[in-house]
Amino acid sequence: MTPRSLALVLLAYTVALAVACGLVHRAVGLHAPREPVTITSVWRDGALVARTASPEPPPAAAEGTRVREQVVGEGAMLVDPDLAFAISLVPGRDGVRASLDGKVAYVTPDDLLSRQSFDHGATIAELGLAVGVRTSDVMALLAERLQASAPEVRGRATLTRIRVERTVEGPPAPNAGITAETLTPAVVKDAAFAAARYLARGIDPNGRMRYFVDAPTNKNLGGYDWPRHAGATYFLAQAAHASHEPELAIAALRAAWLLRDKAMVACGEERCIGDDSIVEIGSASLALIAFVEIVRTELDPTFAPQVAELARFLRAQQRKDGEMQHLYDRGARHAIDVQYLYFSGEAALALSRAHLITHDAADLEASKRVLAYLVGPAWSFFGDRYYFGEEHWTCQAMDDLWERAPDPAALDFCVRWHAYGRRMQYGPGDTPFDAAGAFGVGPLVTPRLTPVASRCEAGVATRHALALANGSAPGRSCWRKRCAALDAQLRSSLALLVRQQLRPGAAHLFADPQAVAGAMPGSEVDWQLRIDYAQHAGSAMLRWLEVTAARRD
Amino acid sequence: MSVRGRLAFGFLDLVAACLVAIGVFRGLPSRVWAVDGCAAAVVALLAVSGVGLMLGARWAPRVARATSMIVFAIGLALVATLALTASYLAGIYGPVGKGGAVILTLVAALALPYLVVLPASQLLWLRRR
Repeated sequence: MTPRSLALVLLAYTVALAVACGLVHRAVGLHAPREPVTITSVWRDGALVARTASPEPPPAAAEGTRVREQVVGEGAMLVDPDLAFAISLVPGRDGVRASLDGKVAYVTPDDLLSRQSFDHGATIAELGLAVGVRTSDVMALLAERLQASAPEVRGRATLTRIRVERTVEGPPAPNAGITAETLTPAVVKDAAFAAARYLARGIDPNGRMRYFVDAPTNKNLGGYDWPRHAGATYFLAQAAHASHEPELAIAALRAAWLLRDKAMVACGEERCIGDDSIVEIGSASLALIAFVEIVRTELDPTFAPQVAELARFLRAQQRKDGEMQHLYDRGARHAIDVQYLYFSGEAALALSRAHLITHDAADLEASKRVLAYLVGPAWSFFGDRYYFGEEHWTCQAMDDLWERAPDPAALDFCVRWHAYGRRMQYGPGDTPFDAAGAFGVGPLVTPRLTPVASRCEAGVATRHALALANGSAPGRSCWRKRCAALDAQLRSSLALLVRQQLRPGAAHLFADPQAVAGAMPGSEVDWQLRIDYAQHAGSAMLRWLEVTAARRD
Repeated sequence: MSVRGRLAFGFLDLVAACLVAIGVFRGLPSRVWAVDGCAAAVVALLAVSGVGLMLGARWAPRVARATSMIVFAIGLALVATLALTASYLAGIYGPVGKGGAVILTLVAALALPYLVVLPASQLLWLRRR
């Protein structure tokens, strides 16, 4: 091959590729529909009872909620391979029109939301990630509506992506359209209490919670774990104190009694939380945080002995260098020196909080040592300034300790962590989703809301510590800049959480909207509700309210 | 064929074989037969070509030329696939997002030196022998 022929090959390749890319982009991009179409649906108890598409007249007076979905754009889409099909619909926004033998059928975003099909498509098992729409749902619905088999639809029908705009009859939800600019403490308080009431409604007389719920059907999805139960108990205690609502106090106490009376077991000389022969320390840490809150807010001061017991257990799990050993073998009566995400940070916060009740200097010392380890040796590697993880408890521990044992290195770590996170925070219009305030690096996965909430918890803590540090070192302008950046980050994230809370959300798609009112979904399109989703969001909101009200800077 | 050139391209072929093997079989999180098959073929061809060139085998230039052409074609196909994927996603989702664009550009930048520039240079060098 001569240089000239190679250059010609590369030139032809570049031109052909540029043209092909342009054609693909143009074909799949949205353009105005050839004729205006409005799909009118009637939903009752979360089920579709009637539907027509213009030019047919809207469904005759069927009882239920009337929803109009206007097709505002359409574009080509790939049906094969399945992965391409799965990622061809923007979650929550796009549906499909299929034409087969003169018949036309629609699958709208509401159809797919009610089946929880978005973000449950192609699975990448190694990453524990599912992306795109569940294509079997789309095909099954189209087949039913076109009175054909799914393979027939896949093989012969013409499929077009449609973008719809939905109008639901009736007043909008109270949290609709909240932005960082319109967010107020009253709105945040209302949302936090609604989240707590959702959790409280799900607590049975024994103190167990509705752990995981499918919002469209209001069915329990099973599963249970003590760390999340303890975290939710902590939030309920926070909310009971802030709201003075007796129902929330009773719910918090029921959940706490279950932890104390059923979940506390012997772990060598001390007691911990768990059911199995090998237990992890996350349950003990979060139960300790919950018990401290219950004692501190005087919901039930009789929890003080359990605070001391759990603190002693955690201290016994600490290594000489400050790191925690995350497992305990109850049969062999010794700690197992392994580490998992979150547990050390949770232990640091728990021991710091415990010290406020026990006044035992050993608890304070242990907490300081975990924190110093977490922001020191645990995060010391080549490139540690350019990479941070998901862990959000360390910064809460740093803030909690600040007035008793300030750690400037930990504050610096937290400020850098948030600066890193802000680079990945979406602004308005950055994605096709309602994602302003969320964090992510690409459009294929709808941003999850729990990481937004947990970053808020850490962000509020860091903001609070910065204000305290500013008080001891006035006149440093970099503080003002950092505080302003954190404030903007927090307002944007909190507004997103408030907007996405089910209040009652897309009520027409829920079998029992009131049952799930106040819950936090997993994402804009993932309406499977786990207790920690509401807990992280609610805790962040309540702490933000406290810190904002107390701030004088 | 100069000894220096032969050793240099042989060494680079072996380095590229190792990088493709590590990148695909250790770096990628899931197994897709089309990707794995192409990668296995590229690794095998580059390894044989590299060893042949370093040993000065008589068959080495022919194998190196065939390898370069195949790897060059696979490299161009990979870049085209990435570009078309980005176009498809941009069409569906609007701006792919800063992160997505950076990831696709990085993948292309990582592949270009080994799968496009190296085989193209090797083809030009082999022409001169």
